[in-house]
Amino acid sequence: MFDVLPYGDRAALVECGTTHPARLADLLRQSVSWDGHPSVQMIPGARTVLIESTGALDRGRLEEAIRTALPSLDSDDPAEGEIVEVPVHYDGPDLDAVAAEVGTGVGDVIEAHTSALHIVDFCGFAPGFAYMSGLPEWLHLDRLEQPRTRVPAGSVAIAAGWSAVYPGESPGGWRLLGRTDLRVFDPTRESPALLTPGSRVRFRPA
Amino acid sequence: MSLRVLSQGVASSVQDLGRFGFGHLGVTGSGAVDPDTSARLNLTLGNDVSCAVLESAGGLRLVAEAPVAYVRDGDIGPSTVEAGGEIRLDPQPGRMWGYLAVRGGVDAPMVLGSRSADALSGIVPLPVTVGAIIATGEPGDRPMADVTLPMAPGTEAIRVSVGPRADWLEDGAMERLTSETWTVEESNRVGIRLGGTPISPSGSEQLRSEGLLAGAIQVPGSGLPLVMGRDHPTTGGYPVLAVVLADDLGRMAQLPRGSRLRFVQAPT
Repeated sequence: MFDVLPYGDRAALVECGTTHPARLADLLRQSVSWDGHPSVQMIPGARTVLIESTGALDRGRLEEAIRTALPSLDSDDPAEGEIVEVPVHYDGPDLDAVAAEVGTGVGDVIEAHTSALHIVDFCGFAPGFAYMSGLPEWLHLDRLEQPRTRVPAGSVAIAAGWSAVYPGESPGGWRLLGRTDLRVFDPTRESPALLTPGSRVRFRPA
Repeated sequence: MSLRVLSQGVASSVQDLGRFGFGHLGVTGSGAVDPDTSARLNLTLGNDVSCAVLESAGGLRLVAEAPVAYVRDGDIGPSTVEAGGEIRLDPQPGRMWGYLAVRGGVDAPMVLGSRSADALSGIVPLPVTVGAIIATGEPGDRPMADVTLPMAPGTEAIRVSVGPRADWLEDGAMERLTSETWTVEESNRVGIRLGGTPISPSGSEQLRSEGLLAGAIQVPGSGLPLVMGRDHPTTGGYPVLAVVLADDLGRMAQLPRGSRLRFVQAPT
């Protein structure tokens, strides 16, 4: 059973437990009746799904609806889907330092980054910025102590156990392994974001 | 029928009711900080409430290139500015944001279902910069009303309900929030930073990032509450202590810097 926490008069926060947040968001969208709500959106986080309605949302009724609609889930696999390939030029300014810090060669870092099957857990920070899990634990490194004031668009980076692609130029404290020519976010496209919660992603050398 | 920007003033932008349904991609809601006021101005002009308006923290100056029917908050009713005539938009006294609506609405490109500018992410369908042309849309069939409704700024306490992570903060944090007087230290479209006696975390563990929405009151490391505004980031890692009720958010965001305010707890 999923805990449903209070979040104002138009939202509620559902704890995922061991279920992948993108999968829980899909299940909530499909299996729970949203009649009586003008519009509802699900915003996955690292371990939660925020349900936001454009009208009043009754948490008690929601809790009951989730209890009825969702069987308890013991699998944390997001739904199977297409794998998005992200070609990367591995020439990032932090690549050497990352290899030195974990005590391997640059080739091993690239090998680990390209062989891991990544899954988008959630988006945030900026439109289209996807937090992807899947890195081996020995590549879980903290953010830079001194964040950069300018990270170029398309930078492929790691920090705190995640991989990400910077959709646009912005400040940032992640470690830059390389860059991709893919545009991961374009609000004028029919699918504005390339990497969405639940997407399976494989990086490969360009 | 259009206006040309002579001076862009402070934090001026085009806003409508905002965009909804893209939060999972990291795209925030945006929309008018004070949606009640923008809706009222639109209705006065016979517009749909979803029409885009101009919002400014002050000093926005425009010149008409052709006659334009318009109304600002604080005006007694709609006026028409003739070609060559100027309009200035400033917030009313005691308010942070002023609004200017034009008959037919501001005609800007729709991006992800909205004409609103997002100060945080840079989704700006029509930037309000010197020289920009602000065209008006096709007016509907509804007539203009004679007089705008009076708008009481309202000084009563802001209603909040308890948030999801009150237990990540010191015992009685909610009582502290609702019994003390807070000061608006900083206020913009992204959020409102409050001044007062800091609220401590209950432990040293770090929360994993989770969804945010406008009105969520986060307590960051400084202990000083941060109220999410319309252009808030879609996820964050500080505990959300409380959430401002949707109907009170516009009134709160209209409080200028230095204002004092109180919260009152509403049932969840």
